[in-house]
Amino acid sequence: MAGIRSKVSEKYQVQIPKGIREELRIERGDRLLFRTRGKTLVVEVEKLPRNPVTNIVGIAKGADLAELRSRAAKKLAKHKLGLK
Amino acid sequence: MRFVDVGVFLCAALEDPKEYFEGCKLLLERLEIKAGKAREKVYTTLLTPAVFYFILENREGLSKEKLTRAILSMRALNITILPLSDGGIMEEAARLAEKKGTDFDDALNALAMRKKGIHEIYALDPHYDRFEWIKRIIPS
Repeated sequence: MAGIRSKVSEKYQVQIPKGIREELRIERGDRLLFRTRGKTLVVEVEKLPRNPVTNIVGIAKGADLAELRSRAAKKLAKHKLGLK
Repeated sequence: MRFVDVGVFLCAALEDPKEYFEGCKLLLERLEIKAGKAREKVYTTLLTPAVFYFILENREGLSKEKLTRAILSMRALNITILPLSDGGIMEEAARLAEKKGTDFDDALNALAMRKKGIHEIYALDPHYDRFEWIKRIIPS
């Protein structure tokens, strides 16, 4: 894709050109990760879930806490030490 | 400025202990990024998603896909991750955990808080009461 110019504002803000927004499906609320590679600016789009709380609440509901603890301990004893 | 401990996320995910669940859920909802709304500054360290994942991947029937989504969702909340990379924090945390009788990860979090000047923590874990520079708040 040919480069598209965008001007840096007084507050150092930059508008993402429409074509790029559409191509990468960038939406309001998405985060951008800025990095430099030599003299090149690299911008990566972080697509994050829209309703984050619903992806956390209740996902492990009904778990037996004692069993969870026991499995975590077993995992420590096996995987972490390379045992089978 | 406040810190949020992994217990809040675990309680929300497990819906257990029941008496803390609503408070933890409400806190997470407050931390959802909503444009134009005043937000409180909340911090944590990478230990939080690490411990969350380490514990919950042992839940039978909970897929890695759901866990990935949960971790990405943590990232989407209005929470800043504090670094643990400064030299000396590991040794200091080990000594502190020994002295206070806490877990190592609690001590690491407590030191990260002190370094950032944070004195309040959303946590269910009473071990945090042993650090004199920290006031524990149970989410409500």
